Amino acid sequence: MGGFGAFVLQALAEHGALDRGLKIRTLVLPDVFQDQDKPELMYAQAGLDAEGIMRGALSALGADNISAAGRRA
Amino acid sequence: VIGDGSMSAGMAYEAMNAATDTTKQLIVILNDNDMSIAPPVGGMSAYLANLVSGGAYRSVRKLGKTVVEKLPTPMREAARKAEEYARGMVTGGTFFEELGFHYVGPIDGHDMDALVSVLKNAREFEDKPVLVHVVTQKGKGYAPAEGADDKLHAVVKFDVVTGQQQKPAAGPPSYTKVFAQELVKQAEHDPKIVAITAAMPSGTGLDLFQKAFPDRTFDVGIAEQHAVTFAAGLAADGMKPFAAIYSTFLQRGYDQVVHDVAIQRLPVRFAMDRAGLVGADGPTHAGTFDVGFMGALPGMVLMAAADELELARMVATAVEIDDRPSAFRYPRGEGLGLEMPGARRSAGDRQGPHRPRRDQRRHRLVRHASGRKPEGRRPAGRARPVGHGLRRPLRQAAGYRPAAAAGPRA
Repeated sequence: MGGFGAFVLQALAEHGALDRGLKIRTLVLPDVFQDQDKPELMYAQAGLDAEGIMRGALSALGADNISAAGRRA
Repeated sequence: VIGDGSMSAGMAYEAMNAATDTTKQLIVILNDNDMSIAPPVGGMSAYLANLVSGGAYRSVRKLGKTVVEKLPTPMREAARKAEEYARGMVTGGTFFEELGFHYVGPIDGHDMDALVSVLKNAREFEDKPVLVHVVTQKGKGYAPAEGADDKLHAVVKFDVVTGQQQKPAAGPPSYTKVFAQELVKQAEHDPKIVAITAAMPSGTGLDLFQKAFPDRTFDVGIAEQHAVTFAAGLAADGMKPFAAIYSTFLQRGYDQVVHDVAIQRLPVRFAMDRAGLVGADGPTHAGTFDVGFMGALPGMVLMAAADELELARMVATAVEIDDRPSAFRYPRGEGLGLEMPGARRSAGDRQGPHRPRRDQRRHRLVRHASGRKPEGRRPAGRARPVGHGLRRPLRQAAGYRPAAAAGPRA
């Protein structure tokens, strides 16, 4: 909350970019204080690694059922 | 329990001020090892050292007498302890007593018998709060820690016998180091650049700056509020202050960032190290919130480095942004190993990618990476051109056609 995604959302809203059903997902740190671990693992838990970003994008596109491994980029 | 390094922060005095009014039964143990994270600084530190050296020793009260009577043999030991107790009963005239505390000390914090007795006595006070001044040595009993003042504060796995910490194989220079080197480079050409740290000269890399410019480096102790307002004052007087403060610790000075820097529109440069998740130090040290709390401020230019080349350019850009506050964030750890340009750019040759744009109306987010760039490292030597704040990406975003209907392309 209140991170970069929020700034982008606000700017998009101000520009009317959300008025016609633009699909957008913000990738964020979770709303808890994560237990400490290696940063890489913590980012992965939060879905902020490549896998998580792709998952987020695919889910926004309604393509949840397509597995990451089975796709060619 | 409070360390002497923490006595440089204002909250300690706020608490003492309130404590004498609100409670008569409180024991404050001042754990004085004459160390902050780095060697301590300032008047309070000198004052405590003076107390320890006996400067405040005045008279002996009877308070400790019963304890002294129980002194063990041999006599020499007893005499030493008697001296310890005598010192423990210093009365009158200390700063803490002026505030309304009983002051007991200084006590040898490694002498368990003495300590227990003194604490039992301190417990008996019912008329005022008590401050027990305990002198300790950092890492006492562990040679590797005793031998290195500023080491083994934050540790990774280490060899217990030698104290050697496991270090990953030497990689590219850290963001911290790149920041410090670039700042030194800039400062060689611009005498107005000064650097401020809050007790973290080594952690922020400013020890390098300090070596090059001892007169232009200020360690204010663990006192981020002062660090920020001090920087504001310097900026108001025409200097170019770089306040190098960990993202998480800048939270301690946020009121000052808002009131004394942003509202005054003073060109303080905030170098926010340890942005994003930091791992070993846990949530207290994670730099999670700076994008939100700095980005919300009118007039603030906020930048986030995705690699060390960008970071170096942001330092150069921040030098040039002289009409408003700016901040740049960068993560803990190593950069990507990009080749750094050797020559400093002249003032007229602003970096294209981060060139400040005067026409943006509120604040800009030049680029964001949530701390370390998680994936997709770019090959060395190639810096990616960066968008000019939000406008262009926005135009692109506005014209973006969701591809949902088409589904993922093969």
